[in-house]
Amino acid sequence: MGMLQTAAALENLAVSMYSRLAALPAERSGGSIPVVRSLMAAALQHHRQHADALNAAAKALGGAAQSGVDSAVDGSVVSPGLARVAGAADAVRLAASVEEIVGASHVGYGSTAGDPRAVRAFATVAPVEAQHAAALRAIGALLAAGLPELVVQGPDASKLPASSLSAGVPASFVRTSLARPAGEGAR
Amino acid sequence: MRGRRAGIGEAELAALCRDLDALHHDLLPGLRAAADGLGEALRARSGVSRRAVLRGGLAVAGVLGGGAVLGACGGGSSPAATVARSPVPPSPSAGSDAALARRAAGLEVAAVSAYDALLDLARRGSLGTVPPSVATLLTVTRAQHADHGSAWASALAAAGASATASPDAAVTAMVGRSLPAVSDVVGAARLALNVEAAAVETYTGGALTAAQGHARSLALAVAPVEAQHAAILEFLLGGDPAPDAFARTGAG
Repeated sequence: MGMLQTAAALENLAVSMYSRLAALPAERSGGSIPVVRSLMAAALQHHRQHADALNAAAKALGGAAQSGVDSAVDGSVVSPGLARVAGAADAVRLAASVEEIVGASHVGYGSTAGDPRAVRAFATVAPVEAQHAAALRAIGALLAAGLPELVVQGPDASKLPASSLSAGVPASFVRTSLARPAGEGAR
Repeated sequence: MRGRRAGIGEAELAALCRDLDALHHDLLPGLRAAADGLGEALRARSGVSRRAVLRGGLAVAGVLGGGAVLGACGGGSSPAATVARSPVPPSPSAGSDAALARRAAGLEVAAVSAYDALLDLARRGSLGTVPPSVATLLTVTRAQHADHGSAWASALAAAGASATASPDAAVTAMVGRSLPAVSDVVGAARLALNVEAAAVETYTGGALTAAQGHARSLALAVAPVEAQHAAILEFLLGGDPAPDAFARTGAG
């Protein structure tokens, strides 16, 4: 139960993070770059749907739905990160970090969950967080290289730095060491 | 993946944990081994020495990035250890675990072959000019599939099965049909995307039917990586890197 509730709280935190990023001036949040803006908007909607699915699973198992955020990750990662966001590269880096934490938590929880409904919830949302993270990392690599003009869907591959696409797929396996403690977000 | 079953008592589990701890420090400093996976491996290989089973488990746990679970051993206060203390599901499905391991191993063999074929086309100039970014992506992705294949082969070996897998028939057939028409980078990326989509669906669906433990953990740790491959290929092709809110499972 704690796993589902913490996962829902992490999803709520991701929604909160993207909402707070969207409230920043576009030059700081990356919103001035259409691909970044659309990716973050889509991710926000996905995280809302994930929170709903995880809360539905928690309720089906007799637990309470979680409407709050994981305050530990908020306090240690999101809020400090948001305070440091000065441009698109910072925003994308923060978002990628949070996606990695959320995704790793789902993988860790799904590995040990006992109820099939919980397993389904974790298994079907973790790959989507990974997609968010992959796109954000690739975009971040282009921004770090000073190539914001290439941050478009379907970029001219001949102009991309050699490692820019592979930056989106940094490891062969999910780093579950990033998973949050199971009961951390439950209230 | 699992054949005969044998119960594991507290004492044996404790001994397993001591051995695991020794191996952990001897062989892979810093590694957080998957104790539930080791338990499954032991049940699968009751005729194999405990140490050998542990080595098999560690080989796979190592590629999981050290994050799986050590909860059964009470080995720490990490998040993973905490979640590992959740109740064990009542009826693990040995057949589905074994089927998942075999299918996954075959899938990775087929995926590596597909990327080898694409890289061969690139080397021969059959894709036109291949930008370094694309060549690097294909090479890295191929290597990651090989890592996945090695992990599944280790899992099969630990379970006493042959570690040599036959290429997945469906993926191989799809690649065989598509490859002759691939004449440029876009075509190569589309073919790769189809391979990745099949992989994500296979692993996500497989995780739903696998018992709690090693096979499920591995499937869950691999599925997001295949999804990342797909996302980057979509980005390259001008598509949506994350088109759906939920991964498909192949079973609706």
